[in-house]
Order: sequence, then C-alpha cells, then structure tokens
Amino acid sequence: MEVKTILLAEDNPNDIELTIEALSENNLANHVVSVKDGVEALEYLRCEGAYKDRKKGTPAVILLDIKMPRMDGMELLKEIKADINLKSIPIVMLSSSREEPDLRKCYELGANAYIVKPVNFQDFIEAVKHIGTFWVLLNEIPSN
Amino acid sequence: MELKNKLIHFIYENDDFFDKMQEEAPDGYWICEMTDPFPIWADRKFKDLFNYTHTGKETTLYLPSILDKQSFNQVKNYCIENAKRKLYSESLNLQYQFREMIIPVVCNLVILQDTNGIITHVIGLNRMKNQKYKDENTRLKEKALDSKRFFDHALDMLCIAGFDGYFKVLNPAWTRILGWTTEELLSRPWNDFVHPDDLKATNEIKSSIVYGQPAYQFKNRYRCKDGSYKLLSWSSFPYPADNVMYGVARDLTEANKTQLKLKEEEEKLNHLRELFAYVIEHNNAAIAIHDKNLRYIYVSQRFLDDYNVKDKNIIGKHHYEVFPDIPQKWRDVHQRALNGEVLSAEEDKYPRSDGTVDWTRWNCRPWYTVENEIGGIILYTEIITHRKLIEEKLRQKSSYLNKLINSANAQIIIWNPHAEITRVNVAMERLTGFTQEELLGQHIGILFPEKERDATLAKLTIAMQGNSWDVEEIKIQTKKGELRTVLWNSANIYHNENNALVETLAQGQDITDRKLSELALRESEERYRNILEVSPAGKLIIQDNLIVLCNSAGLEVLGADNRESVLNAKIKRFFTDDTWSDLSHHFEQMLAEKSVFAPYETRIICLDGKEKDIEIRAGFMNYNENSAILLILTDVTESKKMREELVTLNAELEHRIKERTAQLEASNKELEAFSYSVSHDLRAPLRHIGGYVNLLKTRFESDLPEKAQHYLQTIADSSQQMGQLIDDLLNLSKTGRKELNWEKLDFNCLLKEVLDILQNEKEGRHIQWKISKMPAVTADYSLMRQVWTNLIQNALKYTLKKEKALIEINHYKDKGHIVFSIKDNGVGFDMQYAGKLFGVFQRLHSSDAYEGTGIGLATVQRIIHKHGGLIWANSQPDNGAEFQFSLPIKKHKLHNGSENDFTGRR
Repeated sequence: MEVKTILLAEDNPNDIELTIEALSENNLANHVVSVKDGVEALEYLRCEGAYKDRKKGTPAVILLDIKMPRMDGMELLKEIKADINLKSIPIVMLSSSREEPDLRKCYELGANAYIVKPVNFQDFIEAVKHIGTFWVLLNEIPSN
Repeated sequence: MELKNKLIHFIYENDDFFDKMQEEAPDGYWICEMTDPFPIWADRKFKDLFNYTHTGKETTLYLPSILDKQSFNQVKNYCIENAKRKLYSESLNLQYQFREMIIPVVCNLVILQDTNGIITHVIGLNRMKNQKYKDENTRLKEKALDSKRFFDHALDMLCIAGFDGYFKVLNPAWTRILGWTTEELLSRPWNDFVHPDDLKATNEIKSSIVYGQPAYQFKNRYRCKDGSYKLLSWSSFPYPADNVMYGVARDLTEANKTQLKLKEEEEKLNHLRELFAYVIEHNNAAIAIHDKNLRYIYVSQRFLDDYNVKDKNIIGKHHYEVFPDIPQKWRDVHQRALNGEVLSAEEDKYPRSDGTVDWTRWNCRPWYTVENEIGGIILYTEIITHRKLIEEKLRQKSSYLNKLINSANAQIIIWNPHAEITRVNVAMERLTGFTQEELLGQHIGILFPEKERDATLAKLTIAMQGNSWDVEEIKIQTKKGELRTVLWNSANIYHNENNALVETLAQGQDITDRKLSELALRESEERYRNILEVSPAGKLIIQDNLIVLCNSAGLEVLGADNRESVLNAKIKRFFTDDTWSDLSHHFEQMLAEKSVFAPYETRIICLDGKEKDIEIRAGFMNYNENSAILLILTDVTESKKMREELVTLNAELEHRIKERTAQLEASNKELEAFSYSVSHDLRAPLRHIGGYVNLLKTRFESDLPEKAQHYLQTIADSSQQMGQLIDDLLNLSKTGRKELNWEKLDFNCLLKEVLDILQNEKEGRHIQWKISKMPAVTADYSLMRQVWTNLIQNALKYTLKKEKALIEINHYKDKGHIVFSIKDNGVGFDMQYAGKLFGVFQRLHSSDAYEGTGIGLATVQRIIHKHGGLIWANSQPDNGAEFQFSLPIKKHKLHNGSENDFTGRR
C-alpha cells in the first residue's frame, strides 16, 4: 500500500512541531512533509525547484495555515484549486483565527475543511486526530 | 342856294317869263351855272325824266354828266354864239344820257348874263322830242317805280355805297333791322357800324370790289342802335361810273339761330328715337305699335320672340293677318283702345297653341298724332309665368317662416326704421303679456322700463345703424310691470336695391332666471373673493392666461400698488420666457386634466422690475363657470435665503461628518486589522505555551518534581486565561461593529437554550430559578443570547458560594420599553462602584474570588445600547444584585399569533 503523505504548509516552527506532535499522537507523523510557505508548497506539489527530484505523488491531504510569508494560505488554496492536476487534493485550512470572513472565503475558494487551532493543546490533538482519520485514512480521491 | 335865290329873284322879276317858261318846258327845266363843272339845278319834272329823285337824296347834278358829249358842246357853242341874245333861243336837239337812259329832247336855252355881258347862267327848257320817247320814258319811270317799291319793301338790306366810304342810298330794311335812321346811317362812314373784328376783312373786300371784283356771301357784323350786332351776308358789285357799289345784305342772325336750333331739335329727336328704340328693345314687356288700321308700325324683338312670330318682316302687316286665330276678346280690346280706352290686366291667362298656359300682364292703349287724333294703338305684354312661380315659392317660404317665427321659443320682434313694431311672435307675446294686436304699430319704447328707455333706444339706434348686436342685455317691462332680463341679438334687413333699412329683427332669450342665479353666484363669489382677499398668501385667478382676480397679498408679491395694474394683465409678463414656456405647459396640462401641480419654485419679475423668488402652487378651478387656474404665490426670498444658508451649513456638516466618518472608518479599519492580528498572532504564542506545557506534562510528568508540576499548571492556566481574554476582547470589538439583525425572538426559548449551554456551570449546585413568562421581543438573536448568557453566568458566578442560590428573571413594560431583570441572591456589590460595572477590564471582585475577564458586562452594555436600550444594576454587598435592561418595543408582525403568543419553558 502506498504511503500517504500529509503536506503541512506552516511557517511557524512551533506550530509545525506541535502539529507534528499532534499527528504523531495519531501515528501519522511519519507521513508529514512540511513547507514554509505557499511558494514552497507549490514547488513541492509540482515537483519543481528544491523538490524537482522528489518521488512523484500527490499528498493525501494538505494542511494549510492562513498566515504565511510570500504566498499565504488563501493564495495557495486558489492556485491549487485552479490547477487541474492538484485541485482534487483535499485541503484543510488551519487557522488561529475564528474570524467569519476568513472562514467564508476559504470555503468559497474550495477548502474542504476549516479548523480553528484551539489554544488548548489537548483540543488541538483531538482535532488533528479527526483530520488524520478522515482525510488520510478514510477519504479516497481519484488517482491521476 | 345862291343860284336858286338868283333864279327866284329872276322869275319874280320876269313874271311872264316864268309863265312862258312853264309853257315852253313841259318836261322840266334846268338852270346851269356856267362855270366849270357846270352844276345845274333842275325842277321836279326834269328830275322825273330820269327818275332821279326816286333813288333817294338828290345830289348836285352836273350838266356834262347828264348830256352826251356832243349835246354839251352844242350848248357851250350856242352860249358863245348867242351871247348877245336875250331870252328865247332857238330850239336845240339835245340828247340826255343818264345812267342807262338816253333821252332825246328839244331844248330851248335861255342865256343869263350879268351887267358886264358875261354869261353866268343858262336855262334849259326841255320838251320830249316825240311820243315814242315819252312813252318809253313813262315805261321806264314805271319800271323805276317798280324797282323803288321792291327796294322799299325788300326784306334784305339794299344799299348804294360810295367808294368814299359813305352810304349813298339805303332802303328801309336797314332801319328796321339795325334800328338806325337813314340819316344816321348816311351821316357816318359805314365802317363806324362794322364790328371792329370784321373791319379788316370788310376793307379788303371793299378794295377788291372797287377794283371791279364783285363779292358774294361775304359776311360781317353790323352794330345795331341797341348795341347788339347782326350778322350780315353780302353780295356786292361795283359801279365805277358813279364811284359807287351796289350791295345787298341779308340778316343771318335769326336764320343762323333758327338753323342751329333746328339742328339741335333734330339731334334731340334722333337721340330720343334711339332711346325710344333702346327702351323698347330692353323692356321686359313685348311691345307692338299699330296704326289705326291695326297695321304694324313698330314691334320689339321680344314681341316676336314671346309670340313665336316667324315672319320677321311684319311691319306694315295687319295684326290679324299675323295672328289669324286671335280670340274675340282681343279684337274687342283693340277696338276699345282705338276708341280711346286704356285697357290693362295684371295677371291674365294666355293659353298657348301647344296647350300650356302662360301668365301675362298687358296694357293696350291708343296713341295720338300731333293733331291729337288717335293714330293707332300700343300693345304692351309681359309674360310673368316665371315671376308668378317665384312669388308662389316665396309665399310658401314666407308661410314656413311665419310658422318658424311663431313656433320659436326665442322672442322675436321686428320693427321698422321708425322704431314701430311690425311683427312679434308668440314667444314675445308670452314674455311681455301683450297681444300682437296691442304691440303692432306701437313704438318699441313701450316695451322698456321707463328708467332705461332712453339708453335702450340709443342701443336700438346703434343696431339700426348697422352695428347689429351680437349679444345685448336689455330689460323688458311686461304688461304687468314685471322686469325681465333678455339677451338680444339683432339683424338688419335692407332693401335689395337701394340698401335702405327696411326692418330690424331681434331675437331674444329670457335670462331672468339665469340672472337671478347669477346674482346668487355673484354673492357667493363675493364671499369667495373676500375669503381670498384676507388670505395671507398671494392668490391669483388666471383665465386664458390673464389675471382675472388678485388678492392684496398677491399684489404685494407682484410688486403692484393697485389692482388695476394687475387685472387683465398677462401672467406671462411676470416670468422669463424660459419659465413661462415651462409654466404654460403645466397650465395647459392642469386645465386638460383638471389637476394641481406640485409646488414649483421660480423667480418672478415684479411690476417694479425687481425679481423675487417665489413658490407657486397651482390648481385647476372653475371660476365664473369657466376653467381657471388658481395660483398661490409665496414670496420665498427670505426663506430661500435661510434655506440656502441651511443647505450650506448642512453641506459643511455633511462634509465634517464625512471627514469624521472617514476618520472613524480609518480607525475602524485599524481596529479590525488589530483585532485580526490579535486573533492570529496573539493566540499563536499562547497556543504554543499551552501546547508545550501540555507536552511537558504528558511526556515528562513523572520526571518533574511536584513544584515544577505546579509551575507548569500555573503557566497552563495563565495561557488559558489569556486566550479567554483575547476571545472576549475580540468579541467585544465585534459586537461594536456588528450590524444588527432584527428579528422576532421568543425569549422563553432563548432562555432555555442559554440555560442548556450553561448546564456544566449549574451542575452540582442547588439553584432555585424563578423565570416568569417572557414576551416576544424584536432584537438580534445571537447578541441577545450573548446578553442572557453573560448575565446568567454572572448570577451563577456570584451565587456560587450560596448554599441555596435564587435567580429570578422578570420583565415589565415601561414607556415603550420592556424592562427585563435578573436578580440573584449572591454576593452583590457596593453601589459606590456601580459606575465601574460596565467598564472594560473592570472587576469589582478579585479574580481569585470570582474568575472572569471583566469584559463580559461591557459587552452586554454595548449590545443593549446598540438595541436602543439601557442597562443598569442595583445591589448591596452580600445582599444579592439585580441587573435590569430595557429594550424598546418594536412592533414586528408575525404571520400567526400575537406577540405574547409564546409559551416559555422554565
């Protein structure tokens, strides 16, 4: 069985670590590829730049932070959904914000889920657990 | 004379000689003075011998001029030879030659000598030689006498005139014609009598006559004694032997006049004849003139046409020859006319041979000759069939007209130029109460009330002079003395030919009743006018774009100091052309739709030239039974100025508001950005702290001393609290910005929801709830939930230490608001600090004692204020607290049920 990867686009190393910790609680940590921003994420997804030689294959799910340098989460979301090769990849938005406009906009752009990162880490672990279970383990997407 | 005296003396001295001489000279004697030119004196007998005296005045005769040359020489020789002899001489045979006569005589000569023996005189005693000569002489004498008679009785003027310019002999015609006596004419040169203008011609003709050229029909004018002139026509020839000319003059004056007159008469006659023929030919009547034998003398073309006479040459023919079938009736008529009667008929049937009947008018009369005898008859006939037809039609028409006039509802009256009534109809009788008989022939003045009679008659005169009335209101006084007001129009009827006024016709309409209602109307109008007048707004009534009414306020608006300057003025003049074109359009629309139009602001040009800002309100109305526009003009110059100031102020204010709003918006944006970054960036490190603490605790708890564990817990709690703070602050700022979503809320349900959410906080506690039935409220659902959540949380929090908590929720109505209250029996607070209750981060209790961020009540207050309500609290320390908030009652209609139709649950 092919190992499904999780692409985590997040600039804050603390968040990356904590997210991976949370995923590892669910035995999903090994599958995580993390990129620092939208540009790098696209390079990964399109096997360009630093990821030119990576093993082909699309991630099972992309976890996107909204606030990122260079290309932020929403811009990246737009790019992915506009790309015929990438648009079927499920995208889960991760955000510190519970601002309504952000939420609405993300769904409009085609995000598959929106998760507010709780201050309480325990809650976060719970949330990530759900993400992993559903999007990585249960969800089937059409293969290229 | 001397000779005569000498002779007489001689005869007396020789008495017997004289006797002898008488005997010796049976045919007269002469005495000759024997000096050249040998003048003689002759006795009557001798003169008779030559008819000498017959020719007028005697002139001196000379012996050589009466004797032929030989006889004269015989006498001279005898005297010389017989000078010494006395008395009786031998008889000499002498031959007298005088004029055309030659008379041979035996003459005894007696020589008279003076004492010196010189022969002074010779006397000739004459005896005609023989009977033959005597008889001849007598014949000649007779002849001369004949001539003399003719001469004396001639109508023409006969004369012998000398070449010396004097008349010698004139016949009596001269005196008769010119009035001068013969003596007067003989005593002056004839030129004295000739018209000065004719002198030159007269002298010329005289010269030519003197030179032997006779003149014929030479004309000149002679002056009469009375100063007038006669025109004379001359024939004249010379007789040079006597140095005279013979002339015959004829007075043409009368003849000339007569001739002229004759010519004139003739012309007149000719003219008359032409006229006569013209009249006859152009007469409507056919005319035929017959002689007394009824033969045609004259016939007009019309006669020939009317009676179908084919034969054009009927002159001279007998009437009955032309009309052989003429009835006896006509033969009788002709006969009677020939006997001197004049017969005529105005309308007479004339049956034609083709069976048709014509109507004729005829006249048959005799005509008279100069001798006043009947010369024949004249027949006039006129076919009047056509005229009779027209008359018949006219009669019919006039009968229709009569019916029409009499059945007309309108009053009709006709009067003649003397203002006498000639016709009235039934309606007029009804109106006046007079019968036709009473009115006809009366002066029309009887119909008018005395007071107005003269004025009315003057109007009548105007109408009769051709200015017919279109509409003239004239009062009629009835027989009973009532006054009726009648509107009249009139028409004049003129004679077809001479255009003289024949009659005047007037048609009336009794408007007495209308007049009364008009009066009533006028009164109401008067009232209306008064109301209008006292109105403070300028009011005008416009008809046909003319001002027909204007109140005082209106005058003021229009800048007029008197009403006359405005009444009947064109409303147009008070506006600029642009405004007027706009306004008149509105007016037309209003009149068409009978509508009003919205207040309209414009400028008006006052009578004094000033311009004013006015507001016009206008509307359709009926005025004097006609469409009109009521204009209400308000001078808005002042208010406009104020308004303009207000507008400027408003604009300024608006501007300031915009500025403020922009500032506000800018700060709002900043705040939003701030909130945004807070929610992201502030929470992230907190989360990290929490996350790592959690990791530390879960992964390394067993390795950590108790103290470290305590620290970690504190860090975790702090970060948790910090997170809560941030969420609450964000919430507060969001409620400030949030747009309210008004909807009908059932607070009973809402409270239940909130209590369900707060389940955890209620657990394990003994709480008594007293919640009354809540009314329906119009408010924002999520915000109201927040309010109740906060307030109930508060109540729960501050009753936490109570063994038996009591929380009461109630409401009451107060002046358009519903006031809700939540009362607890908790710790309460000191009213001293009540003002700080709703401030951000204000806490009246230590966070040790009661957890909380100090933002909750601030948020609640903000929400209540946003709903237009108030929030306040009452409390005493340890004696519970009561929070009350009011919400305005907003009617929000539900589709079913009343506003209190909710059943709440506890």
